[in-house]
Amino acid sequence: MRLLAGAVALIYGINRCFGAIAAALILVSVLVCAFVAVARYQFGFGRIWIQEIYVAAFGISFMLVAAHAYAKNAHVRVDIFQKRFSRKGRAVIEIIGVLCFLLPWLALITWSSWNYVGNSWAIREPSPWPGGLPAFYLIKSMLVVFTALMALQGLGKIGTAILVLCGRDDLLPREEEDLLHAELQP
Amino acid sequence: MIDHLGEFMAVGLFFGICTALLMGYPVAFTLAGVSMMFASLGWILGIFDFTYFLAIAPRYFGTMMNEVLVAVPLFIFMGMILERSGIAEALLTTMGQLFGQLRGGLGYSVVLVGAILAASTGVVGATVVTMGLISLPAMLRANYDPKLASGTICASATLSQLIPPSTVIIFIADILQGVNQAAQNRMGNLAPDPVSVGDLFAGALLPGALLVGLYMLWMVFNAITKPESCPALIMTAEERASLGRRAILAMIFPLLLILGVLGSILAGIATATESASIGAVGAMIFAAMRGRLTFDVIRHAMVQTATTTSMIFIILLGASVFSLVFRGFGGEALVEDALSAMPGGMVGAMVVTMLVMFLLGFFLDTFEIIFIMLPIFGPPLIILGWDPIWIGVMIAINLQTSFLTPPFGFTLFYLRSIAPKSIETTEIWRGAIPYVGLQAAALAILFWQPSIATWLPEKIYRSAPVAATPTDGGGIEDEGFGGLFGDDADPFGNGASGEGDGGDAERDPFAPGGGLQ
Repeated sequence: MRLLAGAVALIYGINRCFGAIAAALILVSVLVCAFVAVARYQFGFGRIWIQEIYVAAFGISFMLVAAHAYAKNAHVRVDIFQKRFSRKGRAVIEIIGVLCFLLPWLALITWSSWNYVGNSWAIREPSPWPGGLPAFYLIKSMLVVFTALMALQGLGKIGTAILVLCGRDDLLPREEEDLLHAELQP
Repeated sequence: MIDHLGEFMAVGLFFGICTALLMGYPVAFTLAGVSMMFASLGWILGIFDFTYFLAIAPRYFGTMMNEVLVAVPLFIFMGMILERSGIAEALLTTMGQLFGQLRGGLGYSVVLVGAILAASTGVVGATVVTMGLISLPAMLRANYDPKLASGTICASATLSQLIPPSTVIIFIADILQGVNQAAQNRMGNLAPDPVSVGDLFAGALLPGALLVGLYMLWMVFNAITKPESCPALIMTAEERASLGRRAILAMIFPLLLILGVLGSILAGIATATESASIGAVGAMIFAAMRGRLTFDVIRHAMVQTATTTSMIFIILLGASVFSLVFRGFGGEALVEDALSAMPGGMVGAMVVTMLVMFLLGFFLDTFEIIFIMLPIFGPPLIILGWDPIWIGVMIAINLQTSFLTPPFGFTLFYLRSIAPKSIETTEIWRGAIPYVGLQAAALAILFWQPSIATWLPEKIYRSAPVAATPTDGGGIEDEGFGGLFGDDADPFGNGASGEGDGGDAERDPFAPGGGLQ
């Protein structure tokens, strides 16, 4: 049980780090975009690659933070009936959800992006626009990173659910603690 | 029987998802997971081609690199910073005192501040909480009817969903752009006018003002017929002193920001995304001037923005698996046939669409409804002859109502969580009902007079040159999707395209640039 709790803590910790990176990328996106706007309209200065930076910064941000958001239970749920389930009931649903819904979807994304990202790497694909970013293949690779982080978090959720089912609330990661005490907020 | 197997699967998919969602697993993952189950079943039955799914990767990448949609996190960031800068508190206090001496005055101030906050911060949850903490106690102290007070607060807070820069509208615009392109191509117009975020913002502006006007009228009506439900505020000389100056100080920044951000978008000077980033930096400067720009505030805004937008975008990713499978089964053609066979023609089709969206609003989130419904219901409606901008604005008002509808309306929950215990939950619900009625009235007015939504965009954009189009990853997305599914839908779509020709004659009055050119 301790081992399981350790693995769960590790997974939640990893995604917490990526969540922090993603949050920082939001600020990058804000500042770079404001810079582009001012530079363009005030000084007539524009470069495609700077524009692509703020677009990519946000694109990467939401892909990286998705798993951490799942850890924090920030993804919307239809909670009409859920409130009436016991905590153990919710834990069972979480396991079913990860196995039946989340993991198959991630497998699909992996299958779909395998050649897409692979081909991009093979030619070290740059931006399709002249003067664009040189490393588009790295941005495309975020599809794979997203899948990996999500799959990891899915396993983390199963671990958490098992901890709940075994009654070991003391071992839960901190993202789950407050949620278990307080009811779900609308 | 076999011919219709795909359509059965499409219907089954829709209801399967509705059922599975009730489990309470995150919507985004459930959408994708259930769609895949049906796809696998279809594949075994030999009616679904798995290679459709190869479109997923380029589509997701297109979403990542979509320049238009970057406006969403930027506006949310701006709202988060403004929320922490104490702008709402200052506005509510001074406006309340300014109008408070009138009968119903606190009500007017809530509606007005709701509109100003909608045009600047645009965060429904934050607005209703701030109003609930500041205005609700003030209204109750002044002996307002709790029903009227809570209803006004909830309704005013939902204005953020409609009044630009609303995040919902940005998504509606982005999806409508693709939908309109596809529909116009089907009708033989290969180079339709693009639908931009600016178009939709301009389109939502007057309907937003219409709603504010209706809310105000409702307050006036109450003040006249039931004066005891909203008495005037008795103020001390101390409170009255320098009120004018404080009111102007509280108003000036938000108004400048609104003017700058919306003005530059509507005037076509800057794209929505660029204006949003300037607005975000402006909000930070404003917060710094008020001494509220701490590291903690920035960090909170960053984390909240990242989480909120990721939540929305992941739903978009999940929903696109659904639309792919739904189309793969020929479900799109099914909806098209059903809509064009509606009694009442194009009006009937629109009414049905609005009803379905309203009902879904009872248990689904605004974004989910848009991502699921708009790509499927949009093309037939445009082919039947409705103007895309008008459709977008109607949908926005309709979904705004779902934030207000008892028992599951979001704002009602938010207000319940912070309202004093002395107010009954049923009082909050009953207070919201007249406003749901006002929403319905606004929809009816817009139905009767579509030019309220289409006049301003036409005025602004059909004369002025469109702002430079920046690089747009969305192109990748459209190719991947249209290429795969445009052809597939055709064998079923012949009935609807016939309807389209018939509908063309009707479309003139309110279809700017929609006709064949």
